[in-house]
Order: sequence, then C-alpha cells, then structure tokens
Amino acid sequence: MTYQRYYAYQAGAPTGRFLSPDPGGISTADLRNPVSLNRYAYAYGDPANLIDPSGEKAIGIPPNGPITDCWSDREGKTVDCIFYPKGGWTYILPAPPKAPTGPPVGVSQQGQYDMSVEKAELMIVQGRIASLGDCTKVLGGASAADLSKVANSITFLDGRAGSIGSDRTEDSIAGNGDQTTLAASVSGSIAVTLTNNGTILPYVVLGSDMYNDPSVDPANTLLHEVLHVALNLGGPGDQDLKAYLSQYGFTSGFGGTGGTDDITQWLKANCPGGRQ
Amino acid sequence: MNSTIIITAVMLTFSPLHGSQVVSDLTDERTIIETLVVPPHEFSRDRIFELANSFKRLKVGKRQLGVLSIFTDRSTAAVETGVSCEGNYKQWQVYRQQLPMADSLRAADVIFTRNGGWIRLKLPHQNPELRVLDGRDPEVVTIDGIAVEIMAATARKQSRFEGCGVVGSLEPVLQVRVSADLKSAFPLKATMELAKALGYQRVWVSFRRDPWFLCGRFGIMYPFSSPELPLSEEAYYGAPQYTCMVSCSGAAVCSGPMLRPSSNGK
Repeated sequence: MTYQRYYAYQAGAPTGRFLSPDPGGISTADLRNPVSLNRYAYAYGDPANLIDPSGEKAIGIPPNGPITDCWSDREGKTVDCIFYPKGGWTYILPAPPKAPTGPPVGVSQQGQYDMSVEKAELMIVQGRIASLGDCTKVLGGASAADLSKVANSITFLDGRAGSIGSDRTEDSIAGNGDQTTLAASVSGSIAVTLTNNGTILPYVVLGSDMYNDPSVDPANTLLHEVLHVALNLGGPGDQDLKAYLSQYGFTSGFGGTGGTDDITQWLKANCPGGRQ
Repeated sequence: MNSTIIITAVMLTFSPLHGSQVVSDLTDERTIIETLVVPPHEFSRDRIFELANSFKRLKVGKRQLGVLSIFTDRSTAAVETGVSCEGNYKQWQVYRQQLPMADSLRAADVIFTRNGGWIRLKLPHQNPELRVLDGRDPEVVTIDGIAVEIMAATARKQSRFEGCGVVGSLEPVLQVRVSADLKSAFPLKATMELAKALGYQRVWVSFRRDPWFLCGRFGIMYPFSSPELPLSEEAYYGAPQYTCMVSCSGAAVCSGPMLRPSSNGK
C-alpha cells in the first residue's frame, strides 16, 4: 500500500487545482518502507558548517590621522560635524568610480564617500529616534534606547548604480549566496534590508529613490528599516510589520506598500516623552 | 557487535550524498525550515522524493511544520527564499527577470504539516506539479466552505520585542491562496483556524486570491505558478492581499488590503 498520490497540477486554475488523480500512485520509494531508508540520507553532518560563510565585512576603521567629518542635508546645509582626534574612518570597500548623481543625503567633507553615507544615515535616523520617548507599550517592550542600539548596529550601504551597489553582491555583504548586486536588489525600492538564513541582518541598502525622490522622508524611511531589523520582520510589502504594529492600534492610512511616514507619526503619538 | 551495527547504520543514515548542500537551516523543537542545493544532474523526480522522505524521517519527525526547499544552485535558492522585496510592481519585475528561465528551472518545495505532506515540483521543460505525499489534500484547509491552500511556508525567529512568546523561537509564516474573493473578516478567522490546524499559538499569514504574491517569499510565485504569463501591473495590484498574525492577546490582527501604492508609498 502506498500513501503517495499523484495529481497533475495546473497552476492558475481558480478552483479545481488538481486534474486526473492517478490511482496507481507513482513509482518511487514507499514513504513507509524502512528498507529504503538508507537511500534517503544526505548532508546531515553539521548544516551550520555546510553554509558558505563567504560574507565579507563591509567596514573597517583603522586610524587615518585626525579628521573632521561633516554632513549636509539635502539642500547642502551642514547638519553636524564630528572631530576624530585619533583618526578618521576608512572604508575597505573600493571607492566608487564616480560620485552617484543626485543630491546625497549626507556628504562627508573629508573622508571617503561610502563611509560618510553610512554615518550620515546613522545620524539622521538617530535624530528621528530621539524624537521618540517611551515606546515600550507599542513595540513589545522596546524602548527608544533599544532602537538606538539597533540603529548603531546597522551598516547603511549606498546601493545606487555607480556606487558600490554596482559591483557588490548581496552575498559579498550578507553571505547569503545571492549573487544579485546591491543595486539590483534595491532597484525599484527606496531601501531594503539583507537577509540570510531567514534572519534580517543589520544591513540596509539605499536606492536612488532615497536620494532623488522628493516625497521620501529619509529619516522616516531609515526608522522604518530599523524596525525591520529590530523586529526581524520582512514579508511582502511591509505587511508583516504593519500587522505587528496593528496589534497595538496602528492603522495604515492608505493602501500600497508605503507607510513609513504613517508609522513614524504613529510612533511619535504613542511614544510619549521624546524630543520635540 | 551491536555497537558496530549501530555505528554502521548511523554512518549509512547520515553520510552526506555527494554534492548536496544544506545552505540554510532554521530549527527548533516544533519547526524545521531547510534549503538544500543539489547538483542539476541529481535533480530528478525520484531523487526529490528520496530527499523528501529522508527529510520527513530524519528531520521533521514529530515537529509540527517541516519545509524543505530544493534548488540546483545557491544563488537561485537565496533569491527565491529570501525576503527582501518590498512589494511594488517595479521591484517585483526586477526579481522575476533575475530568475532562470522557467522552462529550464529545477525547484522543489516540500512541506509537512500535521495534516500531511506534499511537494511542489518544477522539472525542466515540464509544468509545475503538486504531489501529495501523505494525507488527503493536506495543503488545503477549508474554512466556512472556502478552500485555503498553503502555497508556501517558512518561519521567522521571534525578536526580543514581541511582548510575548519566547525569543528566538520559530513562528510559521504562510502564503495562502483562497478560493473566494477576499473580504476583511475572512482573513481574521482564517488566521486563527490555520494556527489551530498547524498547532501553533502564533502564525503569520499572507492571503491572496491568486498564486502571485507580492514579493515576500518569491519562489512560489515563479517556479510553481504560470511563469509564461507575467502579471500586468493592473493584475498585480488587482487582487487585494492581507497579512495577518495572532497577536499577544490571542486574537488575530491584519494589515491590508494591500493595493496599489499611493503617491507617497513605495
């Protein structure tokens, strides 16, 4: 007796998914046949060691002499500067062949471009997190300080064509085997996180819309990505994140995959005590 | 003597077959989600059944959910099982175009739940197949007369910020196709019923009227559906999508319906 049954499958059929069941089953090993068990083994030794850990660290911070890094906003106005008396930051990733087009969110006046992007984004999102107070009732116990720590752990990567996004793959950053370039991964989106083994990693790839789309609020977008990482929630169209927040009363104000502004506004309203 | 037999049996059972590689593995006491890469020349119907059976015997055991996804190269596996698409049509097109041509694609998705087990299989130059391994239509849960078909299953690890549950434990994440138009009340009820059917307190479920989900776990949308008919933007956004979860209070909550993005949403 076999417990296997074979149905021809026609995808897209609205109701009758299966056609012509085969009463004779199929000529493969019986599920309940222990004799054939020894044919079934495969790589079971140590799966963790079978995963290719090829991810390269994206950053390095060797001392490079005293340096002051500053950042400007979208209009070019200086936002802030940091002086590093013992040395600046150096990115181990290759410098981009040419600066990407479009006004950058943050431009380091000294130091290399990629690192400045990372630090500028971090500064921007930390500013937005500082506007939140006690979020523990609406983020499963997470405080704004927790979000700040998560943000600090994130590497922000410029995924625009012409930057490192053109020649670095997801695999080279996240070790997930995905040979898609960062630029392709973020194509059509504002920002994406990288995943490996079902976990959202602390890497956020920024696309051109982040820099060029005037409707995009960078701080809200970055906070949105921090939430993805903190909560380990991806899912189609941010729907998982929204479903998670809806248990605390969040309702998205519009359809579609947007919601970064909605979420920030909702957090501000529900995380009292933040910097105004 | 006995110990020799046991050692030999263990070696036979666990010796890796050449070329197969587990490239991702999420496991806890109730759930196992595994992605396997096998060489193209080993990817046959019989071989997939062997792998499915060994997966059930040796890994799923008494777990409530076991998923084995099988591909022939790691990059395709990563693209198809990753969760990085945010859901707009433009990005969906990019992902779809990156995948190998459907006609030559080899892919399999093996799912075991408490209701049984099944395989979705795509062999080169053949239409996608669904093969039931165990149980009677185990991929379908009928709720209020509406068939809810599990198209894909994976899991997420609980974060530190859940408000309930156990940090690091795995929760099922399902993509299901329903046989009727989606209205908001149905996903709420169906989420609770699916949680019960799978034996979990919390599940995450994306509901869609058709098999083409908006990104998420991309694999099921491409190798196991009708790849020769790419969706138009109109069709892509034409059917609403709900995503629901069981909250800490024990009640289901949903976001959606997800429709065409507004001007400030991407």
